Amino acid sequence: MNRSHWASLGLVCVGLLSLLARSEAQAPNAQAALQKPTPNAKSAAHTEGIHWLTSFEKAKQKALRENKPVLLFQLFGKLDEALC
Amino acid sequence: MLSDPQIVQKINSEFVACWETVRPVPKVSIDFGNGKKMQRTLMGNTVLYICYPDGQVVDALPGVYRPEDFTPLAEAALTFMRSPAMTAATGAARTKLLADWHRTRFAASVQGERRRMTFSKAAVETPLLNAMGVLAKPEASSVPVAANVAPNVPPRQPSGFGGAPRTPGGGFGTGNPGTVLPAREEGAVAVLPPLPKLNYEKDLKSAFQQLSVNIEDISKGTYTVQRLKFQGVFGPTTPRMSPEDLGKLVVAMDSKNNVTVVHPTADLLLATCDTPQTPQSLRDVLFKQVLHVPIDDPYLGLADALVPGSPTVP
Repeated sequence: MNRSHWASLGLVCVGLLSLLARSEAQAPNAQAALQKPTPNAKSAAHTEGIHWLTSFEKAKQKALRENKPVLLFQLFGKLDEALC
Repeated sequence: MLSDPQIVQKINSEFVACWETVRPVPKVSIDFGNGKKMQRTLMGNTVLYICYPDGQVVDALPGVYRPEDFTPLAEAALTFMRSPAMTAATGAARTKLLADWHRTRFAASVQGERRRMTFSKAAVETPLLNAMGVLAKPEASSVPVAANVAPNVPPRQPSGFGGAPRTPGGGFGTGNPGTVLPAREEGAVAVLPPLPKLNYEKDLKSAFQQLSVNIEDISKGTYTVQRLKFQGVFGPTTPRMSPEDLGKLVVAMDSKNNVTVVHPTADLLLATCDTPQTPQSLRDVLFKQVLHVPIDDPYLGLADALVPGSPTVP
């Protein structure tokens, strides 16, 4: 291996080390972001999956078109908010 | 329940789903003074309605339900809506069929409770009959406290001490009537006068009024966790449950109470209706009389009594 090869290998190592150092520095924030509950984390469980409408009138119109009954959920607060 | 995959699939395939706010939900923040803070809601409650596309209510489900409790109720409503009689009926005929269906279902609930009592021989196993005053004679030897009150709720006490907590195994759906621990004060055990017997066959509206006043929302009861402790959920040999698991247990209790007592009360209400009902026309009576939430009160009843020293409510 000649000198230029060693130089190239050295540069690659330095680059990898700097990348590693940067990712370690960012890791706590990334981990915190993963663990930090979003304000609507709870509501996401409520609203994900079910195709909710927020207007009873529109729900009735859609139900008429699709020949389905309406399931109306009356609640305190808003379903798409964290505390409801 | 609404995040359960099977419920999601069921609702999306069978219904057009919609939610609406009755009022803002009260929130309370507690600063424990040690750096710990908690924020939660108070007095929240819900009603699910199954409606025709024109808005007429087929069924109303006050309170919370577990998936396994919601599914049969939803299936029953869908099956009834798809029956030949209901498919053909319109206007007043449809309303009459709906009222008859609810009356029949309420009678079936009562009959089911009677059957359950026959097998269990226990007043505490039949909360619906208790709330109806059918079990007028308390079984004095085993359940001297408030035998005519739904067993899933704390017995009504005159005041202060004297409560007689049920031993593990008593009460909710365990198949064991349980016994009563000695009262802490001699003579403090309360035996309430029996409720007047509810005769729903003669007067549905009076029957609804009488039944609804005897409902309590056990999930909001301050004694719920204490009661679970007495029922052996926590014990010296029982691993302590996580708050999440305990919360699930409270929801399960609430759901069963809703199936057993609250939903039949909604049946009774809908059996009295000789005109088409909408969620809007039923909302107040369901929240106020069935769920006992005074939705017109800006303080939702929480400011009815202020202990001395409390700040004045503006």
